Amino acid sequence: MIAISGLTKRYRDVVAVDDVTLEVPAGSVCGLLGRNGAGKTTAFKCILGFSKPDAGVVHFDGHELNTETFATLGYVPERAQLYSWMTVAQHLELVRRTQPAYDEARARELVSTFRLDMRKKAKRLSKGQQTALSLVVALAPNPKLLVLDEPASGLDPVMQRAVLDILVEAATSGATILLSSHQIGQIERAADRVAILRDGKLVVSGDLDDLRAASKTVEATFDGAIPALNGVNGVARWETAGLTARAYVNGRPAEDVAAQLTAIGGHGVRVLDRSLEDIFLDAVSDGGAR
Amino acid sequence: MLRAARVLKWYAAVLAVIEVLVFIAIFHGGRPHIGDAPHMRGSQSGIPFDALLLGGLLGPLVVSSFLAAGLDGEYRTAAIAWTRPIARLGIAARYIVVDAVALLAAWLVTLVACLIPLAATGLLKFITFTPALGGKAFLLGTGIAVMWYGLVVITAALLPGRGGAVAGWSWGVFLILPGLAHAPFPQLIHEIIIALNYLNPFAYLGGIGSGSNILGLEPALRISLPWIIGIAAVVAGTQLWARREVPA
Repeated sequence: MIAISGLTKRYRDVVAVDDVTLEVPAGSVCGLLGRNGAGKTTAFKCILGFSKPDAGVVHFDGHELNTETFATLGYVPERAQLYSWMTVAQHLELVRRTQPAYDEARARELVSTFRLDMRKKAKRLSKGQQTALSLVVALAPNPKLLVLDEPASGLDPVMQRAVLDILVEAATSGATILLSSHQIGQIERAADRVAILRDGKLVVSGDLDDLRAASKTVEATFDGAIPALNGVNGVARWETAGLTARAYVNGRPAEDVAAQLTAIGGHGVRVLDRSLEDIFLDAVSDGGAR
Repeated sequence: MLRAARVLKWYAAVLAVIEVLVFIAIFHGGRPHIGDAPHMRGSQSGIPFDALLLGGLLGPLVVSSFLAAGLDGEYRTAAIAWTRPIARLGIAARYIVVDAVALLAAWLVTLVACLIPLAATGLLKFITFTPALGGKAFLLGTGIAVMWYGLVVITAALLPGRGGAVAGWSWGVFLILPGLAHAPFPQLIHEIIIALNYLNPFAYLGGIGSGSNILGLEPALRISLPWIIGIAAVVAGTQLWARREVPA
């Protein structure tokens, strides 16, 4: 389990990470979402000890980060951090020498999945291949804890799918995974929990199914023109197109909103499930924090 | 290990090119045998081995700044370097041990490179060895390399991410400072330059037996100070390095 409590990091006047508290239960995949500059990478740096937080504490399986934590933790950074002059094989040799749980067969399987040439130097690899090598380095010791910052960036769709399958498989085997991605579809596919950062603050977190259940879209069509909607309570965000109004509802019974829309002349009122993208856009738009 | 080997390979390649040029110069127009030349027969002067030892130290001097910048560069590979189950000071210690071996290797390679032309021209038999002076020369030369290494490590730790620039600038600064000590500056500036030269490895160079140098230190102090400064700088630099953060 990864337990983050009150994590705060300031850079002079900027609060990059603001009192973030988050739990990722064992065997679960938590997707961390946020706009550019929301504080995801800074949060990862603090979690891994690369950056000293101003406040807060992080526990990995009940222990604060220490040298031994890294025997069971794998990390993939936002941008591949490889030794440019070393070959793929030399990177794996480095991991073999320093990670007690290094699994040679697993490493070879991953190299084959990502079609990496063992003799190629890191600087000769494409961006996607460098990301793939970072993944191999992180996953070869079969870590119990995985922290992944945009793990599929630069990969082609086939490789992206392979990475997500690998992560789901690892979680099924009991690994705890915290990953960020700009591609909401990836998070939706791999994660069972979601956390959304906005300006360093955690504005949404929880089980993905619960969030979806608590977040609905109510759609209504009007004759003539759409009346004033500001009297309708409990709506996070409105969208209108032609004679159709769409209300995004968080945390309130959608049926209340549906009844209000019917009362002001809406017809064909429908309550729809919402996608993670809708939940994300609500959370990061002005007035969306809750 | 691979990092140090890479630096040594580059150094050996440059040395090999110089060696070829030396051989071309020596054997241009026939095969000389200086050792058998009439004026060398019965010569009492000889070639002091401590001079060769000091000459060999060009190797550690050249590679020390390059090696020292390596530790600073580790934050660029933090995803691998700092996610191993090894304490950061342990990582730094490994670096330093590997670099120390590499410095010795550079010294040996350079010494051999110095001896090869002497052997080829029959001058090996003129080498004279004075044990006490040879040992002192070795200690002085290695101390200067260690001092340079340590100063780059600590300066790079204070200026994270600029290890390469620090190593490069150190060449210019260290080569210019001793010269400035002889320039006709006002007394105060002269004294400041002399004080700065205490932190300049090249300022400790000079004759081993008695010879003076710009710092005016006794040979024993001139041999020990670079070691003390170098080791202190390495210890302080690695402590700073172990506590550093990856930039935002």
